[in-house]
Amino acid sequence: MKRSFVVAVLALTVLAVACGSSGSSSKPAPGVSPVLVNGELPHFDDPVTLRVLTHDSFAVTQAVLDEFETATNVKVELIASGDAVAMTNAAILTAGNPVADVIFGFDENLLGSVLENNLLQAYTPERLNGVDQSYVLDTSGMATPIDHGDVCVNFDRGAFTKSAIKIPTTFDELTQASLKSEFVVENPATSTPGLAFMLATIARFGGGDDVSANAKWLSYWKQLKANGVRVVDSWEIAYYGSFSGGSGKGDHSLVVSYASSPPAEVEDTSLAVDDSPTGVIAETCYGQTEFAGILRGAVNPRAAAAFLEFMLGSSFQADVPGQMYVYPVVTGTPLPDTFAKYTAPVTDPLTLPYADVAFNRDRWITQWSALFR
Amino acid sequence: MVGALPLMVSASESRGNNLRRKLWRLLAATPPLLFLGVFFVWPVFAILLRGLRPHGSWNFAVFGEVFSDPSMRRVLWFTLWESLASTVLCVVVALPAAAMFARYRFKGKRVLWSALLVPFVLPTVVVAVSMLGVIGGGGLAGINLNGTVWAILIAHVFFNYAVVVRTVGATWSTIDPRLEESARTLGAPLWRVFREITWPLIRSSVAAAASIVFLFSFTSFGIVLILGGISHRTLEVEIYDQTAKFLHLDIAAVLAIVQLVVVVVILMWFGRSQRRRSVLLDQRSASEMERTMETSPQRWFIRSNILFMAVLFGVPLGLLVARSFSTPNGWGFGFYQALTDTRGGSTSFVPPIDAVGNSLLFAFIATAIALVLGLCAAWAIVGDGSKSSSIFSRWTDTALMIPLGTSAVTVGFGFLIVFDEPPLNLRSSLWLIPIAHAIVALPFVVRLLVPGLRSIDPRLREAASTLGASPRQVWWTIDVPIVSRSLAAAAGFAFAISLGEFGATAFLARPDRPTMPIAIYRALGRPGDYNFGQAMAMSTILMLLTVVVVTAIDRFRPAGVSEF
Amino acid sequence: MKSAFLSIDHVSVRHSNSSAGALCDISFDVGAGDVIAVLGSSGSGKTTLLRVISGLQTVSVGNVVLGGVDITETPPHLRGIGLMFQEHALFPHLNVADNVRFGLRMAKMPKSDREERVAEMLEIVGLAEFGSRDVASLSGGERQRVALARTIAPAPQLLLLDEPMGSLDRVSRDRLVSQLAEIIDRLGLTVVYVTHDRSEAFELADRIAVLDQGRLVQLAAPEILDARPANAHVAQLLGHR
Repeated sequence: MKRSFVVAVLALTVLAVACGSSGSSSKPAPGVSPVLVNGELPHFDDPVTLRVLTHDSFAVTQAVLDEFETATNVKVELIASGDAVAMTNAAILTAGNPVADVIFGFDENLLGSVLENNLLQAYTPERLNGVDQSYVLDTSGMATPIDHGDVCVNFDRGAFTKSAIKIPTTFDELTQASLKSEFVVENPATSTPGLAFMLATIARFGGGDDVSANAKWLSYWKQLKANGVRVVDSWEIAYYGSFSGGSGKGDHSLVVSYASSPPAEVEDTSLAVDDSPTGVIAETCYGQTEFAGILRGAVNPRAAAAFLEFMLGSSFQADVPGQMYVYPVVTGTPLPDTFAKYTAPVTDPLTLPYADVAFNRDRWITQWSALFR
Repeated sequence: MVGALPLMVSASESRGNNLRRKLWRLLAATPPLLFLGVFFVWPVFAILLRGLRPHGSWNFAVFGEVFSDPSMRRVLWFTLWESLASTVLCVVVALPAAAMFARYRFKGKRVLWSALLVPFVLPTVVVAVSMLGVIGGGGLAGINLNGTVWAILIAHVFFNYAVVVRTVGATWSTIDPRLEESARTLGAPLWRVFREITWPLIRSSVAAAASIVFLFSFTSFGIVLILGGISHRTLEVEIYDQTAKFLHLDIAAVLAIVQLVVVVVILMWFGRSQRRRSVLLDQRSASEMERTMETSPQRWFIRSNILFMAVLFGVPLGLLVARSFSTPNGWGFGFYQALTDTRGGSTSFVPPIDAVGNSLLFAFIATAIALVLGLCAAWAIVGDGSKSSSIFSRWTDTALMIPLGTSAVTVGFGFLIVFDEPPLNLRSSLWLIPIAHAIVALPFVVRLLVPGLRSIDPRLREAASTLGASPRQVWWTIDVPIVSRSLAAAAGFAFAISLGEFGATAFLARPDRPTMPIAIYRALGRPGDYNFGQAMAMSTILMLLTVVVVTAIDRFRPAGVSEF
Repeated sequence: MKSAFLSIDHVSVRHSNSSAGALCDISFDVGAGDVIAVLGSSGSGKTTLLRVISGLQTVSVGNVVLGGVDITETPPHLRGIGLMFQEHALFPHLNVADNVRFGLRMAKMPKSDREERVAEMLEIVGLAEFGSRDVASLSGGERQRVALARTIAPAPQLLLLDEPMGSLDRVSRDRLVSQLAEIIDRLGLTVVYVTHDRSEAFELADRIAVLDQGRLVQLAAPEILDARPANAHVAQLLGHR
């Protein structure tokens, strides 16, 4: 972990070359030509099997997926390979001779690695026009944004009502003495929301260029540490094991989770609740976009292109919040009732340029780890 | 394979057929070793090579880099002492229970003996979350051990208690209590009876159990990740991060080699202490060895043992079951009913009945593979008692154990790079799941079958053939009935292992064909009471299924000969 | 009659789940140097009686007094009573000499005396050359003699024998019974000897106790027993028609 990211990227590039040497070239593959027919999904005459590599929290309503299969005569086979990071690394390891045709679920923190390793072939979906252009980060046409979400500090409303402490609204208020040992975060080295929250502090406090232990964002973490912040390795343990607002009944009233977690807590609509038992501190939110792309060496690039179009179609986009607790990227897509009722839309989340993240991520994690090991 | 067996038996009738017998044994060992070679050695070797020889030239400098990195040295040191401490602790707290099961008759003994295996096959995530409910902050115990090494040690004891109790208990129950009583009347106080008589006789089975506990603790992943907090990292966690998170295959390769070396050294060491004893014990029925509780110290001994188990297992598992019934609307079956809800037909919400079906299907295939290969391996290992055969047995036995001490991510990423060409383009094949389960189950199956096969007295066969039985009839009337009991026990065990396997399955399972542990993990990965409650409900069903399977095993189990 | 060396005083043992092996209000005395045979069919409580005397079985009611001291609550290893089981119960992980040596080590006998004693014991039972043999390699008769040597080596105040000839064939049994009689006589041992075999009892014992279903039916010298059995069961045990 001490090694700089540059060295790693170099090694990976060499690796990718070595992998691809058995036949397929590592030159950029030619792009796939448009597949939509009059704006509708194409129908393939011969039955085709499309393999989709995704992370293990991917979900879609079966009926929605059936729509795609019926319309196109394409059978979809899902392949999961751990979380988004493990999935991306598995794809890098098999670059050029991929296990699937489409990859879905890498976020902008992984976008750098995906592009550097030349994993994808270009396809610009026609339906990209309907997407809020702020999510289109990759200008080379390789990575298509599908959904977005925000990682935010969540609070347990009941605990704050009980203790009569004011619910914090800013980063700085999280370090106040009355909230000692109330905050649990995930390890940025091992957890995606943990990484996002660390990036949020860098975006908020700055000092990302500072390689010393005195970087501004690290000073904030020192205050958190002094105030008894608890670090765990995964979201599951933070949310279910340590957070008092989750079903596991832990002992911390603040946790790093998602903007969409509160509606999930009131999913049982038979409950008489005025509001979600948990809420979100909007100032702490860090935006994340999930992308999909056609893998270089795909057996069925055209079916893969059709699948990308399908993921930007209205039925899949509308299905995204209920199934994966994230928001659609196509503007004007309707949200489920619980989302409308229990979440305040995050209007201006913190972000960092993805190239900066790709270049500095390992160093930031090392700096952070030095403080917490 | 099975067709070859009568031939092997008949071959042993003549001394002149020595060479042929050796050949048969070698032939029997081939399928399991070939299987291991293709599905374990090759992928592991390939991924190590990818790390150490990335572009045609060796990169040995990385060894120096890793060993000079103090944080890596800390990880290695922690892994070693944590696993040794877990092993010692587990043996120490489990021995009294082994004695209790071996020596005393009490109500509910059979059920308790079966139920012991439940924690062993539960997925780590579930156990860890239940544990947090007890020893985490705000937990039932009122102490917060979350993130401490104690939480890790307690969880390792929780998982491995059954391995020690059942392995040692089975051996202990074959030791005539009159040996201990003789020692008493010869003037030995209780502790000396244990040290001088009991311990030397159970030592080999303690070593067998300890080697397994060590392997599981040494490669512990989920427990360390969840309960250890970020300051406690094992080699396994580091290998996972270096491989799956950072794709530093060179560092991962060095760590995987270190892991392999330690595992082999420890296995050889345990194997040595297992072989030192050559004492054959009289096989007697377990009931003859049992004593009823007479004195109040004996009753106190049993009670405190059961109380210990109640606290160690009853509390966290009871909490789990209670949570599965504790819905937001009060106590009820709400979460169980929700299990059949496909949530608008989501691809990730495979109805649990399907997950149960998937688990059972994979378990059947895995069991079949493990039994066929395990039978071959066991026959080869039992051998003819010659010196060359015992060396061969030892190496085969050790080789079969090594996968238990290897990181799932090493094998999983190895699969990705070796099975990418026809005819073995298996990367996304569902077959890899039962194959992986079979690799995990194989050492257990072999260790159950070998004692069964060894217990066949050659005189029985001779007696049968002097009564005019043909070799085939001898095989059917003598070998099969005796082996079939061990086989049934092995089948049940392989089945239970497959039901609970998580680490490898997480890499290999397809979203549309989840196993029960995968479905549990998936539900836990989402927020909300209903997801949490469903995970608990599913875990409860998995526990029930395990109890049923294991109880069935124990009905078939040959009394007092097998381990585990 | 000599003064009592061992007194069994109104001893009863009840088992929670079966009546086999129970004892009901047993009382008798054994004088120093006496050999008492306990005769009875299986399940009559013979073995339980020995376990009570040696301390391996706690009594429900009653007392055991040895050499004037009440040992009812004394743990087995402090009683100084030797017990030899029917199955011999040789320690399988120790060789012949180590088996014999075991009780001497427990008694912390100095090493030189100990080795002398082991050699002496093996000499007495006629196994002088067998010290380094593995116990698994011994014949039934040899095992029986090792067990005897092991039991008498620590010089117990009282020797309890539980069907010591039980697992032997007729010929070696006859030979060993006379050897045993000679050893007992030579060492002046006090012995309680459990058997179901009438001829053994008659050859070795000064007096014979007959147990039936946990009760002491008769205790008398062999010739008296033979002449006047207390009831039909005793007569049957003695082989009378």
